[in-house]
Amino acid sequence: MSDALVQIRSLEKTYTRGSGRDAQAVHVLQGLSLQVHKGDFVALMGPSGSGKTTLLNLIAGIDRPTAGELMVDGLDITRLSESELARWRASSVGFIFQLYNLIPVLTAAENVELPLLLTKLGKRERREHVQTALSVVGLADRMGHYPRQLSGGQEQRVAIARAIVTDPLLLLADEPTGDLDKASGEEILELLSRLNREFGKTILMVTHDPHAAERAKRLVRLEKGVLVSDDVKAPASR
Amino acid sequence: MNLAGLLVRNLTRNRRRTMLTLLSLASSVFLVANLEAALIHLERLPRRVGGEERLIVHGKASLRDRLPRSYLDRIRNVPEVTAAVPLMWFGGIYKRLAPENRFAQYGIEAASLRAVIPELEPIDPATRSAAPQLFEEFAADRSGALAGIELFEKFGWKLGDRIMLSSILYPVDLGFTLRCSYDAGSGMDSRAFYFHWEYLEESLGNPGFVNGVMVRGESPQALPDIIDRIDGMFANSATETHTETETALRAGFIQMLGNLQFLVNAIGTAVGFAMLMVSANTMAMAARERTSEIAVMKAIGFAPSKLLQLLLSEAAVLGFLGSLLGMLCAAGLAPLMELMLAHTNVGPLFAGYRVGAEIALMLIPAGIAIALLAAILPVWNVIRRPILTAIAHGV
Ligand SMILES: Nc1ncnc2c1ncn2[C@@H]1O[C@H](COP(=O)(O)OP(=O)(O)OP(=O)(O)O)[C@@H](O)[C@H]1O
Ligand SMILES: [Mg+2]
Repeated sequence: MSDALVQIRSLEKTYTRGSGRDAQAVHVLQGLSLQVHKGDFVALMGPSGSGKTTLLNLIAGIDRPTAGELMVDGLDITRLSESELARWRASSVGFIFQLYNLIPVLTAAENVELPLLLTKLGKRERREHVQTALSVVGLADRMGHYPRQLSGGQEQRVAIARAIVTDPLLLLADEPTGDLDKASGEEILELLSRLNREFGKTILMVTHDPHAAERAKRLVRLEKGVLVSDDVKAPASR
Repeated sequence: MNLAGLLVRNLTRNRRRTMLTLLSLASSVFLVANLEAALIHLERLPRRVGGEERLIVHGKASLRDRLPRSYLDRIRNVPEVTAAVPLMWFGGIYKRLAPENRFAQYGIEAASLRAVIPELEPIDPATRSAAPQLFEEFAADRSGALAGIELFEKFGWKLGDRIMLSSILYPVDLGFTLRCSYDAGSGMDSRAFYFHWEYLEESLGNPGFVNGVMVRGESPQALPDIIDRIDGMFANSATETHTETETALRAGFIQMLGNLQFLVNAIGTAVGFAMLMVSANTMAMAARERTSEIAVMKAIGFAPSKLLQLLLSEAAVLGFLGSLLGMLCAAGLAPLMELMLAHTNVGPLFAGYRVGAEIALMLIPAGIAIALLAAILPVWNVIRRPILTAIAHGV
């Protein structure tokens, strides 16, 4: 199983809340182990406060574990320095936030282009990549729109385009439909599963919505920082 | 789009705030630029005027004091004095009382004038060529006048014209015939109007006084001794004198300039500090508003150093544009300032007032530095926030 894209073993994350004498350790993740393979589409569920976001952030390299092993594509990202980690994030993960988090002063195309500014790509190549990514999410005709001119669902699709434009190893989504109405949420889920099916993207998605979890190939449940179930669904089930 | 594009977008994100920041920076720079320019202008004044070998003797109490006519001969006999010419103020109004019609007039003695002011070169105003014979004509005409070339140009005068002046100091109106012009070259100015003091004396019934005596010494080094001798000679007399160099008289504020410099620097520093506080507040607001965006950029893989560079460049551009705007206004409005000041009693001092490039070289970098200084802490505070808490921080 060493060919897993994400290899997590005995992962621990402890936050300290408060300071000084009142400091209190919160053990969010307690010896969690998980493997995610290339091409997987994993839904991560669990009650609020169970550590889903924390886990996702650790895998994304935007937070650091307290202990344990965390390898992505054979690379121990816990050993990377701050700037190495930043570079690694730029090339290896696409993160989709619940609240889209687009830059309001940039157009859809420019928002999608943003991660490419960290690459060596020339202007024309960047434009091609942006066009491709926006076509994949079905917004090729909204390149020049600003976030405020888009609906929530469209904003999230732009955010997805931004996440895939660098062609990362991993797509991480934290409640990507959490702030959307049912129809828009449905579109986003369809898009994610298409990215998984047609483009072979490995996706890890946190969700509270059992219906959304249905779309995934695999369902992982977290409770109080430990894995409580892991169901690989038969391909036929979807 | 590139990072420069992003920078421009960010600057125009809140146009009103950007405009206000720019304008407050610009007006501060405008203020300080004018203060500095005025100071520099005043400092250069005495040097521009020249007359390092000349002294002016006048009454101790005021410039309007009347000195007995006998003082003239006594001053001429003082050791190391090579020449002396009497001066009488006239305070004549030309045509009508208006600032643009104002020029200095002196009743003098033609025979000794050029000995005291050798750089005064008689010229023919029509050809601007040297014309010593015209000076002789002036000397020979009791009501003749010798006027600076700038006056001829300004008023369109020609030789032979009759000029009427009514005095505000004496109850007389006098008519003068233009006989000669002069060009002062680089030294003194070419805007004075000289006439025969005896002409004024006669019209006043020969009261026998002068307002001042202009003295030429053997050398600039001799001047301090001459001053002591002259003022010593008349000490404890009914009319005591005060003798000073022409330079010091024309810019009697030379000592004052030192204090002025201190004042200007103090004001400049205070304005700079106020500017720093105001911009720091604005920058902090702007940075805080963008906390989650900056966190997202970090999450995407932008290194803190890159973000710092981006945000500080924004501040630097703002500082540059603001101070450039202030400088352009200051430079552009300087002629207007000169015009406005012309109507006041310091007007003559500010003739040719300009705000020069040397001030821009000082204030534009200062503006950039202030903007950077104001930005660095708030920007760094936002950048170093952990991505997670920062993204959570209101979107
Ligand atoms: N930066 C932090 N400092 C202290 N405690 C934290 C921090 N981040 C998360 N926690 C705590 O860790 C626990 C797990 O948080 P996490 O956000 O991972 O939960 P979650 O499963 O994503 O919940 P939700 O479904 O509500 O999003 C919570 O008790 C939370 O309060
Ligand atoms: Mg969460």
